[in-house]
Amino acid sequence: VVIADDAEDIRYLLRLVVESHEGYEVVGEAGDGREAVDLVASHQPELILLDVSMPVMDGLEAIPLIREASRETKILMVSGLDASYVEAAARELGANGYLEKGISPKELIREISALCP
Amino acid sequence: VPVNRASKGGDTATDRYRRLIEESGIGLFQTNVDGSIDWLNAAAARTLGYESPQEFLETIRDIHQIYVDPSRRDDLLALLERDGAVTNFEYEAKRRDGGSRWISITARALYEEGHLEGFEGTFLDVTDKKLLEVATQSISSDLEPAAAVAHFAEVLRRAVPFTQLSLVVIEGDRYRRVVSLSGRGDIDPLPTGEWVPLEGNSVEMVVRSGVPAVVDDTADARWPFDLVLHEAGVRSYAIFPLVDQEGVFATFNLGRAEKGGFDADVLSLVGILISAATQAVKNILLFEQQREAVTRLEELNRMKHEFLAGVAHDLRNPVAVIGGAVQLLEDSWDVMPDEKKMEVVQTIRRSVTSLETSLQRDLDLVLLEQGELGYDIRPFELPTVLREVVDSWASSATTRTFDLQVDPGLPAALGDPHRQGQIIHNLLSNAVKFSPKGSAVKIEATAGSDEIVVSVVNEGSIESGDHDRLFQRMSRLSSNKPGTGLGLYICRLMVEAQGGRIWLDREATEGVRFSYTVPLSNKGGE
Repeated sequence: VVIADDAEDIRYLLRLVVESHEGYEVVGEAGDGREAVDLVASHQPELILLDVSMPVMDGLEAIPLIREASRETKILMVSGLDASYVEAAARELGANGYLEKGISPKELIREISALCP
Repeated sequence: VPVNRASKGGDTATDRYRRLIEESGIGLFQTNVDGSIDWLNAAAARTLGYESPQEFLETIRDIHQIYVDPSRRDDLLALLERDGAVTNFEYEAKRRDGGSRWISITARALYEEGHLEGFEGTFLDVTDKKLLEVATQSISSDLEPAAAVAHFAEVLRRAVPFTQLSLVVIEGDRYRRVVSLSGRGDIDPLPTGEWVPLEGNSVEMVVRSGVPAVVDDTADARWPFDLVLHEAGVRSYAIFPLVDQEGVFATFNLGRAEKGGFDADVLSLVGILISAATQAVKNILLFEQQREAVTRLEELNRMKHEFLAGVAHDLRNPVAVIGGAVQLLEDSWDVMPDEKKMEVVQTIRRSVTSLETSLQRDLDLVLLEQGELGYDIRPFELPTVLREVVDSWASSATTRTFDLQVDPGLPAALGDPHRQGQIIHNLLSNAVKFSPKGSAVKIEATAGSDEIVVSVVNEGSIESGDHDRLFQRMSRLSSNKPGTGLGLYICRLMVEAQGGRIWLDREATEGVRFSYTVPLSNKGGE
């Protein structure tokens, strides 16, 4: 799993949740969309947790580039913006799932397990 | 004028009658159907701007020439043909100086062999009355200042051709030109909008005295601004006060192309027009004030919404982290190793601190913008404050080095030590956020003649397009960088409230250098 979020504490929490679950490993953390694309290209992860609002390149811009870098990687948006048009845009661009940031660890794990059984 | 010779020993009745008529200012004339002029008296000639009947007759061969609308002459003849006489027939006549006057004719027809040959009668200048009607109507026709003044100017221009007309609003000891019109296509109107001090200005004279003032020749440069007016095609000008119970609240400034353009005649005419417009102008300005107030309120409301959205944005991440971390502890309490638990607890603590910082900053911002943030201004040792804040950054951001350089023997500063700490804290936070990971941040404090200059230097860069907006209040939502837009704005408000300045050094070559000043406790060695 690759985690992309500009807030360090969010990345830390997501890592804790992901790694608390047997069989999942975080292989890289990115602070912006550009780093996220690079990490996906170099690690070919099964899953990326992608924030929407990030510097340099935001999550929506990054989606097509991530798809280009790795066809197999599942993209799960973890967004601080609870706007339905953002979710619609993300799915249109090729995201596989969409979660709001006020997420509970259980739901996150359920969502991850559904995408990458 | 056929006149009986005066008999010896005194005036004849005709002489006395003629003199009486001349002195009363009533114009007399006789013209023919074909437009030729038999005679007119001096009062009639003067009304149209000529010094004598002779001068008039040398210039005007056909009476049609003085009609602004020559078809009015046909109307007049038709009435005479029908009725044999007219009473108070009004038309607009061209004056020698290019202006015009409204004339009222009372006349009786003269016949020759049963045909209308011409007419004779009196010729009265009713411009004051006529213009008053039109001018009052025109300026009341619109509540938008520029449009109302433009309508008024059209009427005024017909009577008194001008090069510049301005409406000026007075507020306390300053004034502002709110509307300016040029009377000539090739000359620009004067600039509007800017507040100018009354002091040393010809408008001041009028505001103090409440009576009009005239400058006969701007080339004399009696007032500094006269030369600007000279450039703008104004050779002479007059300032007319608009007065209410509280005094002069506005002035109309009228500029003409020729020097000495304001004789008693013109002054009285324009004076009458402008006093008639006073109430209308007052209404327009009040309406304008209300409109400005509404715009300000809308702007405040927009800022409030943006502020709340910004607050919500800042709280979102820490709240998500705290919520997620607490639930994680609950869910995995039994399986999580103790050191992991401690890590999670520390993450929660950091988020709580970040919440507190955001809330404090937002509260400060509200107080700052309302001018209600208290400052405990006193002499203090700036290096102590700088050291404290830099040390706390050094212990929390362990991947960065903070290099504090303070001039030895720095004199005591004057300000609020706590607020000074917040300023340097904000600048360090900014420096850390916008410079490469692991790069060093340098802090310098040097003494100037009556202030201390503090600089914070980081190894980042700023796009030059952003320079002007740096210290402005910006929407955090418009940027996807964390917390941008408020830190530097808050710094500026705090620095300025303590008598300092803050700026970005555009010449800096070593990276991004922000500097601000703190006043000395003992200014200039007093």
